[in-house]
Amino acid sequence: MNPTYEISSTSGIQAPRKTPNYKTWRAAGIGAAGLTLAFCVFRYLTIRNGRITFNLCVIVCSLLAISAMVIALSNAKHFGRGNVLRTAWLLIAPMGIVDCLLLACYTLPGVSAGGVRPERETAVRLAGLILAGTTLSGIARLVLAYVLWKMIGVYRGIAFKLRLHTSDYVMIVVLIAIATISVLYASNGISNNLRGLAPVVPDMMGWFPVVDWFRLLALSCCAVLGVIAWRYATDSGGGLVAKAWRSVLMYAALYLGYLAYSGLTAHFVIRPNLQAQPTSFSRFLGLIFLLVMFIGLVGSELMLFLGTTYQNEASNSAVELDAETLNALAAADQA
Amino acid sequence: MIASSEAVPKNSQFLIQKSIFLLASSVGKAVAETIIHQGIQQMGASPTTLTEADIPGLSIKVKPALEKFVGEEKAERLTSALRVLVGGMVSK
Repeated sequence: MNPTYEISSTSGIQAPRKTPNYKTWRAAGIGAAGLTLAFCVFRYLTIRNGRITFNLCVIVCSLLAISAMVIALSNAKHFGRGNVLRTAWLLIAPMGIVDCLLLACYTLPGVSAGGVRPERETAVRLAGLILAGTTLSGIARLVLAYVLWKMIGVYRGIAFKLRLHTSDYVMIVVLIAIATISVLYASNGISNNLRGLAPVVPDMMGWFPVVDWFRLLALSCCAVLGVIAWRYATDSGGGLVAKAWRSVLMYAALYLGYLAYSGLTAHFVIRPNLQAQPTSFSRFLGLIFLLVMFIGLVGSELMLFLGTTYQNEASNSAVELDAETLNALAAADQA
Repeated sequence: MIASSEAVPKNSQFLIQKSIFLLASSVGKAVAETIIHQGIQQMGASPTTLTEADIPGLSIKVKPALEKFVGEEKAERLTSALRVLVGGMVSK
């Protein structure tokens, strides 16, 4: 049944029900991320306990991912059965959770260095869990590539012209290069994160590069389709739907950047200096690592959250233009 | 039916501009432009001869394309707004 609308000469059409205050939602998300960043930097400078900050990042990421999932499911409800975007938002909904589950696995006791080394049986179970999480993360990226393909199809469906620029081709090459770096050095990042497990289950560690090659395929598909979707969203001339998709693309790009960066730093910075005494320079590098990790990790989940709120606003908000404003806008454009 | 403001020009280009601005905040100006021009084409009308009387027909034509971007409920709101704010009609 179609909703009824109240019409007035001054306010145009009013929504049949009150819509959420999306600006407050977004401000809350950005505020939570900002406060956590400030707290993490403070903790690092005063206590230098990387584990606490990582755990806090995982908690904030999880909260953002859960919120994004709820809003994405609500987004899907606005589209009828058979609508491409209904499927797209249903598939996007669990993506943040998958990332967070994988991150949460790294916080389990015995996984990283510093704790009590687990028994072989426990270590096999933990390594299997993280391997499954990494595979799931790869599948999520493949699903995201499918979602982007479908979104591109929506723009093509209305015969909206695609005009790729030279910068877009450069960006595709850069993103594939980052994806390759993330895969080439991901095993270093994983070995660094699994310093507690690796000596107990060396036979299982060989599976991680295999899973990462699969992830490279998914990330490369995401990079190509992501740039095309970004161009469509940019050329669409603003609007909430474009903001939503650009945020989802930023989520994918930031997470990719995080993977590449953590692998690179593990290979070139952390591993060669594991036994070295901490110096001022290494502490400075640690702070930079913390900041980049935070931007990549929490930033990606924040972008996913923002993306879902933009689409929710596009599908749920009232038409706020009144007749006078509309006349003024059109007249100004004509002049 | 109620007439929209009498003080503003009502040529076809102005009606098209108003329709585009109405949809722009949701789907973007360029996409709105594409959708509106496609709708006019599907009606068999010309952008140069579009009148207020054509807007209800246009709103029916643009609705499926809008649904793809914003869903059924918002598409209904936008097309109702199109009929009222651009076409000068009251939706029952």
